[in-house]
Amino acid sequence: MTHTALSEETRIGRRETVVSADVADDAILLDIDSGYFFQLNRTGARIWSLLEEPQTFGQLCASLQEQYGMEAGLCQADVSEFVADLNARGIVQVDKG
Amino acid sequence: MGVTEAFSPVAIEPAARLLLACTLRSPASDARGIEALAGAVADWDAFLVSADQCLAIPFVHRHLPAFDRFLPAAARLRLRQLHTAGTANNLQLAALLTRLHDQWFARRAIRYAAVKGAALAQRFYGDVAARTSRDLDLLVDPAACPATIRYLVDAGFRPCRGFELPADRAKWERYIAAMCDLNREISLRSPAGDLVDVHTSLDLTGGDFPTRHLLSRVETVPIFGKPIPALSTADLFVYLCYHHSRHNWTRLHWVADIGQVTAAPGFDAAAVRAVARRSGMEGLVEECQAMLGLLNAATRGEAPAGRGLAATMARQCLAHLAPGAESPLLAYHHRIDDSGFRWRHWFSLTAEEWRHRRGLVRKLRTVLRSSTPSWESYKALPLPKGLRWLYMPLRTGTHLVRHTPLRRLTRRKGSAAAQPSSDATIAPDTRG
Repeated sequence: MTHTALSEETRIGRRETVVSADVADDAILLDIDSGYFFQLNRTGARIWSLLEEPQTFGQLCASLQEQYGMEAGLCQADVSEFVADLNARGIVQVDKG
Repeated sequence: MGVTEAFSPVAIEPAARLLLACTLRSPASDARGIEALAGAVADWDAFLVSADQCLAIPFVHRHLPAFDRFLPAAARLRLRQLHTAGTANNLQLAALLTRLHDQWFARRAIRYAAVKGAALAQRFYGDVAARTSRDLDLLVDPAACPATIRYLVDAGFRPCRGFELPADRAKWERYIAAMCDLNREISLRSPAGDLVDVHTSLDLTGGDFPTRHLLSRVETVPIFGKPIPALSTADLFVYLCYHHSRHNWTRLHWVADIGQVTAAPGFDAAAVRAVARRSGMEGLVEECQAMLGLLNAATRGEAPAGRGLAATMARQCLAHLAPGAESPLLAYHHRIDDSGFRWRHWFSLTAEEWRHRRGLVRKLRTVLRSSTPSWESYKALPLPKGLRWLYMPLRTGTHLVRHTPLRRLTRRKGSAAAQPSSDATIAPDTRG
């Protein structure tokens, strides 16, 4: 997987071609263009929910830290990896500004 | 199925009561009510099979927290899988709708409306995945039907359910034009396997729900940010009563629809009554609303009593929740070779259609349904447009032979017209 270096100011948003629905705590995503489905677990679904409005990587991590009480460094590393994965699959768009 | 079975006693099993409670917006639908009903369910596997058959999985899943402690682990996993698969399917259908809107209807300024399905789910349940959709029903301006079918075919959609095109592409234009001319509903399968039904009319003869009127009153439903035209609430509600009653309320999402639309902010009962009156269905609409009350009572174990239409429809719905209930379509096909059954079936359906309408002309129009030309007629005997009126007497004659003892006489004489296997008048919709 190609990692995208994310700074605090990097803006992250959903791609318009990806639609979603909640399934209990999870989320089902469908990329309309490719026809691929993705399933996100509870934490992934929470991140997806936060991305309903585009926001910076810093804002995203701050929200998750507040919600899950995670240590800042660990949170940034995990979220960075997750966002890079979503970006590689064409689910989100990352704008380094 | 049919009116002859409508008065059969219906025992309301605990599983059926729970299914209903999950479906309805009733007092039994609160967490305590659901929990109380769930405690009496003995066979959760059978419950989930029934929930799936009645297309009630999203409703059941929504109430899972209330009965989770009763659910065996395997059943919980199964429910989750069914819900996930259903959600994915609903998303796919909604995405297909928005794609067709963008790439065809909006681009060509073609008048159309999404009927039920994703548009109904988004508008009245707040989410395209909150209600099961099995296909995409589109009401299309009849003038644009051939171009729409051709566009879909060129985009990789495959006509199905008897609408298959011949191998010779040179014939396609003529066949598609005949299809649109003779059928009010054409089914196609998308490259991803989704079923799309293109309607040029929502009723058997086009007289009850005139397409022109429906399309002139469409309202917009935003789906994934796209403004999707859908039937107006009043038109939709009357159509739901008509459609679901014809199909004996065999699916619980149909029952839920009536409750959801009625409870929606801005539901205008006077506008609904006005639309219903134009179609002669004001009585049917009232009975459908009364049926909800009876089904609510059924969650408390009270069987619907009486011979009124509301009670009959409530019993029909409950009958399909009973263990081992046979779907009407399956029952029809199991008995299709019995001419006596077909004759009774035809009368039974006609009696129901009469009961659902007011006004002699409207009632008589339902009798014509068996004589209206169809694509099946064209396939059996392709006639140019000017001669297609001949299908009416031909189809009537074929029906008489098929549905009456005449069939036995013709069979004795070895007439090909009496052979069921080559019968060109068996339409996919057994109600037709």
